[in-house]
Amino acid sequence: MDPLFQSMTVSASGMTAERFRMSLIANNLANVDTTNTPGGGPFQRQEAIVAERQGDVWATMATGASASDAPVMEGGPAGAGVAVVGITTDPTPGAQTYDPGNPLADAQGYVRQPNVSSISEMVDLMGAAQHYRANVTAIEDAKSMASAAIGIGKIA
Amino acid sequence: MVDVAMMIPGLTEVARALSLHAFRQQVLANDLANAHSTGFVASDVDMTSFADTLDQTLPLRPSGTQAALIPTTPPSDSEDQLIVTAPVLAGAEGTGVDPDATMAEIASNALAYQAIATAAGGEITLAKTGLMG
Repeated sequence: MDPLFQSMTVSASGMTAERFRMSLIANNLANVDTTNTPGGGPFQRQEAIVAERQGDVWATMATGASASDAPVMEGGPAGAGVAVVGITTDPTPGAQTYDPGNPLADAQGYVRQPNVSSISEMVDLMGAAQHYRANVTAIEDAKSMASAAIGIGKIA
Repeated sequence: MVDVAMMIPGLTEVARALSLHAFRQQVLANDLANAHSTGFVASDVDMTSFADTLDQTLPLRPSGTQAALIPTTPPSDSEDQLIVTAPVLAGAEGTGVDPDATMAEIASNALAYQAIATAAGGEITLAKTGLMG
């Protein structure tokens, strides 16, 4: 594929990944007070695992190479973008609050809260939105390059 | 059959320069898309070996002596061999990619591409004027 269209595809995969992260963050924020889940226990915050899109030699070489021992990478196509490969659940236990009247309270009267910090989720949300916009800008740059190429030889 | 590209000296090299910049755009876009990928190492295209070619190609003059200065072989057989790791584009806090530095490179690469395309367009317009009066 033409590298300009390929870079638009790559940036689009970045937008998809960032939007997925944003939906997980929104879910974490929505469950900031969820002390009971179908599986038992409080809600645990979720994070997306993103990785460079697999399926080419270059991806594996890129992750194993450093600037000193492999200055030139040979063979294989350029990167094919990014993909969400999984969701991980943060196992860190949340804070405990003393609420003996709560039906979920343990013998000592404590209720385990979700391990979601709305402040750090908001920071992550801002980061994801910023990276989304950065990918949009990269697409716009590729678009202006393509239209500059179309303009070669145009009669002024 | 007359090769149209041969009528304008340097046009083949301009096309190669455009192709290389388009390829670099793809590599940089991949860096940006993988800003959150764990263990990802930022890459870039080595443009230094191509810079000499560009210096001689950009001030295009339709004369035989100038055209002779332009090397006829590309710096590398394959574009993929030009990919290098880019510690400059790596993030400061242990992440693989610095999005701001990568964005700056993407913008300047797009600008260089448009500049080359504009220069090529000017050369073609000149050649048209020469042909049609």
